[in-house]
Amino acid sequence: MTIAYKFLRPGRMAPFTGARWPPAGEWLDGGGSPALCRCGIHALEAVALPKWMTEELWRVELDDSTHPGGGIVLARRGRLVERVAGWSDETAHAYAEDCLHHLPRGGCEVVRTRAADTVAVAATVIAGTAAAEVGYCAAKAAEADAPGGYERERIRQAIWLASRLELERSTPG
Amino acid sequence: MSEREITCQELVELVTEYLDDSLPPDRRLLFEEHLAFCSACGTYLEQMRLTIRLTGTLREDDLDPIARDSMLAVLRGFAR
Repeated sequence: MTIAYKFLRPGRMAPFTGARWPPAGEWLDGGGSPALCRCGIHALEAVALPKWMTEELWRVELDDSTHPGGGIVLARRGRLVERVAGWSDETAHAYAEDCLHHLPRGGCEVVRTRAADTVAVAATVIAGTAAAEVGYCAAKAAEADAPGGYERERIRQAIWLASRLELERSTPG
Repeated sequence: MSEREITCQELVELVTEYLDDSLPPDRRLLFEEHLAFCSACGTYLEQMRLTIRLTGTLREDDLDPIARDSMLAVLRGFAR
């Protein structure tokens, strides 16, 4: 068994398929042999959380899982264990503030534009897509500032989230 | 731009393949990763889904003749 994370829309709704997850403790079958973006349960390692934020964050238990890369965990079936209560509007605001705090200062026009984008989006943050957009804009600003900045900023964001939400950073099988 | 990223414009170009479930897995992943942070594209995708659902319920008799002729003229223009 593997513990991983799953972002869902309100009401335990899968963000892309629209499928509703059963209540915590009940297994959800992935419908066949797991294949990336085709079949199976898709969940996340903590390192990938900033790229996939929605309103609800859940800790999930996965059966027969693989790690195809990109922080994604694929499994034949999974079940919700508990909702990560710390992922809230308040945390999303704090996350946005942290992204703003780490924005590159000065720099070329592209960097300044990216930074301004981040500040503008941060003003609208609630837990969900807007928070995801702040993280994205901040990572783009970091990339404009220095090569490799995008991935470095994404990792920094993931570490911040894992620490704030007291998540496991690795998911041994 | 990150190498592993699609733009809003690319997403618009790929939306039909996405809805037809014919995107290769790697492109589908990038498509959904874009949706995760871009609320505008999320809205666009929902509008496309709604349009497909509503037009699927239309019968030929439901179309106003003027609207039908206008649409045909536009489509013929595309074909040129």
